[in-house]
Amino acid sequence: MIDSVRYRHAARAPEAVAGISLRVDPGEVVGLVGPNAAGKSTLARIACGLLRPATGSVHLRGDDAFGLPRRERARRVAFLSQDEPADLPFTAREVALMGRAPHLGLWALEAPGDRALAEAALVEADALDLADRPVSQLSGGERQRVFLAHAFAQDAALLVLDEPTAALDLAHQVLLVTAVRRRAQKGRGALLVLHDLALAGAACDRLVLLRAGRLLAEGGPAEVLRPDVLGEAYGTQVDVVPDPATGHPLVAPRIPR
Amino acid sequence: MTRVFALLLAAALTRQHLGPPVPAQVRRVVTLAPSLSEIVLALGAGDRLVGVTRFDDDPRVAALPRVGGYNDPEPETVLGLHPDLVIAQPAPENRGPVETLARIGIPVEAFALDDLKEVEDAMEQIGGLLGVPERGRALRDELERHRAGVRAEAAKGPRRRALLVFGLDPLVVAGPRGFAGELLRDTGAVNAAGDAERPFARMSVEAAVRAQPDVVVICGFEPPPGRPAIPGLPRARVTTLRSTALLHPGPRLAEGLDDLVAALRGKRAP
Amino acid sequence: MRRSAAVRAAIALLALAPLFALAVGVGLSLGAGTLSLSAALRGVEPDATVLFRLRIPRVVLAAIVGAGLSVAGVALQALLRNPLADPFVFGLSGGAAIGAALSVAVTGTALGVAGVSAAGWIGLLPTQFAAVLGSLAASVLVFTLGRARGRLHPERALLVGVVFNSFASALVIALEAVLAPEKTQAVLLWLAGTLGYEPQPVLVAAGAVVLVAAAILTALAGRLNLLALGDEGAAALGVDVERTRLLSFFAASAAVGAAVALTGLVGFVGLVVPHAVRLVAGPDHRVVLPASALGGAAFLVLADAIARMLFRGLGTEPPVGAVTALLGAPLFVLLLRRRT
Repeated sequence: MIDSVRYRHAARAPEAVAGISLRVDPGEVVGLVGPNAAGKSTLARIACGLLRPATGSVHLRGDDAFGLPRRERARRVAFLSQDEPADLPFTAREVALMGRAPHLGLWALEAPGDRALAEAALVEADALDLADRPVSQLSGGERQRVFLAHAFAQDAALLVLDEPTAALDLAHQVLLVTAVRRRAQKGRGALLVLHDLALAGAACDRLVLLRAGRLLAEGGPAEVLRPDVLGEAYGTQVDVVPDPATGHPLVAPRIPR
Repeated sequence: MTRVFALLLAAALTRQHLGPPVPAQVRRVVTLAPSLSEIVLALGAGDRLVGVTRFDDDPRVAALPRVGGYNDPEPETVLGLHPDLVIAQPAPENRGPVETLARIGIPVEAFALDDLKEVEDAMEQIGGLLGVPERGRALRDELERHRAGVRAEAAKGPRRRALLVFGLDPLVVAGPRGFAGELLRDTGAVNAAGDAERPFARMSVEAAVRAQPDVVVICGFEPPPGRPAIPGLPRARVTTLRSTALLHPGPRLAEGLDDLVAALRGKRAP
Repeated sequence: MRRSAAVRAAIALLALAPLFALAVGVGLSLGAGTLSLSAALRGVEPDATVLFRLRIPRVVLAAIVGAGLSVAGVALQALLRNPLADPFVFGLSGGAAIGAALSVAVTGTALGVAGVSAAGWIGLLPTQFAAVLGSLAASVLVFTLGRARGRLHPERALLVGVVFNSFASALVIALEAVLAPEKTQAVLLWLAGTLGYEPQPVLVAAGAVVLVAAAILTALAGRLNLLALGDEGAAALGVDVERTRLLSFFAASAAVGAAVALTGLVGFVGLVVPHAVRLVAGPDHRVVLPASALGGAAFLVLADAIARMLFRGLGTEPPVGAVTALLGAPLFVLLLRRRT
């Protein structure tokens, strides 16, 4: 739960996040949407305890995120950033296994249970066939799946993913969302930063719409994904139609020809 | 306190003993500098030499095994020669290796040979160590007599300004302290590098030109041909002493002194 | 890789152990003189002295320095995420050079005398003592200048270190103009990396420092792996990135300081041994660190044995840094070609 946080990237810069409150309950998948520079990535990092807000607080399961020891915090929230390093000499399996780091002792030695969880995470992210290949040799989409497995292996109550579908093809986007939702059903929570509004509408229980560091709208997809709301947020005209099969709102930008 | 310590250290550095005590009878000697080999040979104890440095070029030790250079005597090689005594010249650079020799049970005596007093003391003391103290004293007396003779002759002749050069590029000259400078004084010449602090000091070419030497004596090596040894001294006479007698502080200094006198007088030196 | 890191590390060490044993065997049996092992063990002189007071301490020295430089190289390559980092990159070589050159320059002055007595009290030669002080001072300087906004930035520290090393070389060259020629030659030779014979207390102290540094770095090995994910990626996993960096940096500096005190700047080992180990054993630092320690020790013991043996032919022992490069470069190229 994030409460009234404010954050600046630099002393005289405008506030990247100006007084936002947000909560993700267990079993919820919350989508963070909005135009560029809305503060989505910044807010996501604050939620993980990676950036410290100037005012306000962040609580994970009731405890102050910045008061927890780092490893305990990492056990409660897992973060996947937009740009993970590409030149890793480690194999996919090793990267997935790294996700277990917050659970390991002093000499950082993994137990068989850790290895099993990492394997399962690779399966979940459909990256098992990549397991023995070095990450530096993988394509962008393959790499993203490996890092997803890495985040899954961390087995945290809250999963914060920043643009997790950016490089994924359609099939893998669906796969990712399914995996996240399945975890949610088991009581985990997820905060997804998404550009793709259609996906956001289909995947998330709740949406939070940001613009220029402020909260513009919050609620279920049907409430947030409306032409008037989106038009104000993005400054461009959109149409919203319900998906014929599922009823989820689909957003289409109105492009004059 | 520091001054006392410095004085003690300075005194200690002139002659130093390291390692186990030297046996009463010294039968096997290793020297770590050509000058020291020459002293042993001049004392008539050349048959006791069992090892020398790779820089020793005296024909009398040509057949002896080489134990290394000035700064890198090789301990296993030295040990293999079973020496009773190792004689060395102390220097910061060879301190480690020399201490190693002492540590593995070889008696070491180190003698500084920077000025004539040290050279003469060394000759006498090494004579004592080798059981021929009277020979050591004789070597010292010989050198002193020679010097006295040269000084007497010099009083009659002109006083020239001379620069005693031991290296070109960079220019290295003999200062007034140190054996080379002292011998130069014996010849009656005025040392053009008279304000140098060290026995062998670097001098800038400009300073050399300003000093206006009448004679430039190059010791022990040939200057590169086809160009002036020191630019800017057209009227100075440049002579080369090919013999290495002046480079080895020891009994050959008497010979070196004669060479120097001849060079200053303009006679062709050997 | 389905085996745990501990098992893989054990396998690596077991595979390297015979190599190390071979190197030690070569190191003990080769030298400038000849040695009869049986005679030495029976107490016959001079074989016994050669074995116990010359060759064994020398092999121990080479092992300590080889291990220390290798683990430092691994750590610094991880910290900088730069495979070209060597143990001296943070200004340690420049600091040692300045220290050594200054110690020779001030010989005979009051400062020099004070230094000699301080060094003697610790049991080091003045040049060694000055070099250690110089390298430690340099590492503190580089570390301080490499900080921005309260955090250590490795790339910035690297830049400062490289610039400092250049500055130090220039200073040493300038000092040469003041020093007598034979003195500078000695300093330069020592700086090129020369192994000598050190008394036991010095060996024990240096060995302890390297052992502790290696242990610290091996404990940090898992976190060093995670640093490859980037500062943010590692922090997201709960790693205290700043503290890991600090500890690794100081452990590596201590190991390098001990090595520099004993032997000057032996090149090539700290740069190449980590890479050779990674080529065979993979990038996991929990394996690479202990394997590099053992591999580096074996390599330097072997190179030193060869350098000592070359005395017979050359009349002088070449600096071991020359032998490591001459020996190691072709070996490394061979390894590179076989693995890619």
